[in-house]
Amino acid sequence: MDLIANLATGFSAALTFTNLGLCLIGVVLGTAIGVLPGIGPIATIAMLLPLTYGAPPLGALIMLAGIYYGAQYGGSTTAILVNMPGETASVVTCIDGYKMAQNGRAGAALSIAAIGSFVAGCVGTLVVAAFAPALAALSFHFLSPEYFSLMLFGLVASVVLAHGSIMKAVAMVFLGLLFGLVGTDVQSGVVRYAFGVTQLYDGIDFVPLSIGLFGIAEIMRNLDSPTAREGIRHRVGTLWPTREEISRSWPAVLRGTGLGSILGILPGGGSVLGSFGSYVLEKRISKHPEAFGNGAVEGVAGPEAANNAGAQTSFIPLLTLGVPSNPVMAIMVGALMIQGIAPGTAVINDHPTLFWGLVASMWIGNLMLVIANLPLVGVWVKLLQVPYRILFPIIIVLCCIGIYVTQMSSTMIVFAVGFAVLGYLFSKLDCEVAPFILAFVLGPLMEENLRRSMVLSDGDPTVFLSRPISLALILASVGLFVLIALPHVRSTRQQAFQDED
Amino acid sequence: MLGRSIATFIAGLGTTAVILATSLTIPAQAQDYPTRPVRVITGYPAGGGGDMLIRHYATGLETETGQRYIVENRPGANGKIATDAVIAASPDGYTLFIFGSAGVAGNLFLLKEPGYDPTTDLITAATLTASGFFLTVGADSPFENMKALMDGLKSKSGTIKYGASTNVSIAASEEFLRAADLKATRVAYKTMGDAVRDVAAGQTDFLIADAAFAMAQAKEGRLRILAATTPERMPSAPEVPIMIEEGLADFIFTPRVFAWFPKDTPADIVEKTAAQLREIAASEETAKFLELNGAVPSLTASSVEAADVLKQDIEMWKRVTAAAGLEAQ
Amino acid sequence: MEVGNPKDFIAGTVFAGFGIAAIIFGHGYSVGSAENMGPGYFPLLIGIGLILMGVIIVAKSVRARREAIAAIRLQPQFFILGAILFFGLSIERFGLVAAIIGATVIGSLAAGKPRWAELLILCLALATSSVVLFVYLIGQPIPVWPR
Repeated sequence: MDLIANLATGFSAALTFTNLGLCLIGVVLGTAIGVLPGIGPIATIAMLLPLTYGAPPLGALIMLAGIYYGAQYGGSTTAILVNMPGETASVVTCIDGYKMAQNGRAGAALSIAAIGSFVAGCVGTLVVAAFAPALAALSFHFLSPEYFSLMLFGLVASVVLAHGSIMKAVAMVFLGLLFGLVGTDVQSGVVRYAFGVTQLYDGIDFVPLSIGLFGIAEIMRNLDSPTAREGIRHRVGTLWPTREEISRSWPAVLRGTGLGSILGILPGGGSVLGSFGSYVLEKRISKHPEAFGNGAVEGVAGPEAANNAGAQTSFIPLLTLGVPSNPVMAIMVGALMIQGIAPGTAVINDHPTLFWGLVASMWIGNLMLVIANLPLVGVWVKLLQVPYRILFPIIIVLCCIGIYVTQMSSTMIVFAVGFAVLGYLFSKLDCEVAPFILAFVLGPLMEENLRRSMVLSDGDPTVFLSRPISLALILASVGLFVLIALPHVRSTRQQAFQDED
Repeated sequence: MLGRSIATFIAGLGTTAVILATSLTIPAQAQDYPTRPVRVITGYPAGGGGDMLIRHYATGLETETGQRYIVENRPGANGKIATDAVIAASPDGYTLFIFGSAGVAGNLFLLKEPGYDPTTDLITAATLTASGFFLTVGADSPFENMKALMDGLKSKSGTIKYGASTNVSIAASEEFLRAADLKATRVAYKTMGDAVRDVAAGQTDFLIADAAFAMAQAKEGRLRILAATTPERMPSAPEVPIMIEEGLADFIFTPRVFAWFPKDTPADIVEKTAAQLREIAASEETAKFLELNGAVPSLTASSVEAADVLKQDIEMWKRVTAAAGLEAQ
Repeated sequence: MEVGNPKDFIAGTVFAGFGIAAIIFGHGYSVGSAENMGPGYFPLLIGIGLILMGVIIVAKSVRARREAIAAIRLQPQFFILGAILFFGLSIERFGLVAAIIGATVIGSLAAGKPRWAELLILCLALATSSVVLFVYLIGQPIPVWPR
């Protein structure tokens, strides 16, 4: 079939010495970047752009792409080891991944993340190869009302992320929505809640927010316990996942891959939705939902798979429509334009070697990443053995540099301190950060699309119900809300009855 | 013998010391400039069309001077973050600002407290390019040309919706509406990709997009280009009529990219760089590059002339922001 | 007499506080209508939502069982946050090396009495490797030395 022939062309192009070398450089660099707090693929790829001027187009793309999905691997490493999400999508990995590390299962978490990501990457690459144009066409049906309904569903589902009080989770969702408001309102151009600080005009930057809320707050918590003087040592169990962990993980990986592949295609928010949608799904269908939040391996396997699958499929809008689905893809547009290639459907037909070579290199890159990362698991776990009094200043310094470099601004560092205090406060009050973060990311998209849908429909709210996809998502939201609220109502009533007795 | 060696050594040391001392106190002469890497600050985010243009010029300057020109992307606040960084930079000639006037001039009216005056806080070295914009409709739109569009829109004036993402596209659209004497509702998007999606689906009536992107999407079969906002037909799209031909003599919109230095930068450095930039802008390679990117060279003979062009842009933005009802934030 | 749950009581107050702040600071944004929502519409809704949730949580906390708040030691926190603030305030004026050394020293104090030899090695190692990694290898335009 054509696909096999095309893949053959692709592999023969990607397996040259130069391209293999560029792939290796890309993924290694990407992983390193992903591990460093703050510095992300965007900054790195932007910096390396000039190097691609003289390079052959395929090689350049292979390297840049490698940096991108390599960063996903690195980002999960810090999420698991020190509760710091390398990227927005890794936030979900922090929840159970870090708990696994605290339970002594860091090695298992890292291995499963790597292997799950590899499987997802392979499948994701296949999806790109086989279904790119078809999926791109599907995205045409996803207009503002559908985005709104999807985000609404996401927000309702984010309450499921919480393993504690539902009320507080809902409140955290509202709080996340509030913080998401900061910045320039898309539709009206009004700047909200910026208090004159120019760095806030485009919204609160995710880097100081996540580093402060997760990473630094975690250090603060650790130093609260008296054992800090001796140093915190995470128990280290076996490096490899147990049979039970593996058998629980692989279905989650498959489900996550499916979810992530599809959601990764949607420009804006797709990758976050994929990873946390997987988490919500796993928690809902699990026989032991109470394990989630305490180190459930499915909570790492699924989201990591979704993450990486999404990273592969997020290339689809770029390669087929010429529309970048996230800021990294936007830079890829630039890289292509420098080479004189206008991204779009023409790429597949006019530059088949480029397209298929890139697809083949994604598979190769994922293979390289899993081969490189698995032995590293032992190294990372050894790092955890370093006395905490030496480890945490290193983390602090790396965080500071990473935050500063984001916008070359010390204001960002002050923000991070504020968020660190907030994160510390929340943990003392048992308020979970995950719903907050998800609302922070999804809220603005939801508001933007809600208001735009209303403007486009001339103020007619039935537009959300008259379009089939949107209707389905709204029904799902309502259904999920009822599912969440009902047991709570029942248990409150039960408690009321018990109190009366 | 020993005495002589010592004397020579001391003389050598002394000479070196004098040379070092004088080179530390005398500011860089234009003949030697640049003697170390230069920062090229821009407000465009990495990878976008604007950024590619900046990098093209940076590479050109590198070839000319043999020194590195490092592009620093400082996006945010419609260019204010980049502008602030440049104004705060030391005026030794090693900070260059290449950016569209939209951010620098526009912010004077879009922000309540811009905190700067580009005519005094910056030295305008040169204008480089002018970008063309295309008015587009969805590929399935019933309007085949500008006349059909105008007639169609006149009949539904008041319920027209247009898409826009950047402040520049908003400005272009408002200028169009003013020239065509129409009223429309603005539908704002965060990215051009989203805006194209909706105009292609027929949700909005028209979209004014930068030429490069519009051409790419037209090739995809998602958009139909109706007219260009340039004073002459664009070399990269000679089949596209210009607004003037379509009866809108009043509507020319070609936002320009400028090169600036912080104020108090030595004049000879400014002039040297301006001359180099003009040379690059006029070259064959640039012409080809600009064609791909939907821009045309727009050169001014001197920095004085460039400063005047900036003043014109400021006036234009003043008018546009008022007409578009964009309140200062 | 039921003992209140201080965790939830404080949490509820914090939420309500944010809600009130949202409404106060957002009063200038035009709300618009349901058909044509303005920039102030969502801030208002969210503010109300936060106040509502805050009140509910506080109300429930009054009757709930007491859950002690986990230990808070303020001293280490001051050092950690102080270290970060020091970095932020000094990096542009004094450069990366000074910022790193200062942050490391201040931060280490959070874990109690520092072991000076160890600290010195840590500072030097961190400073050198950071400069090599971020400034030379990655090429970020961070000032290394004092201006």
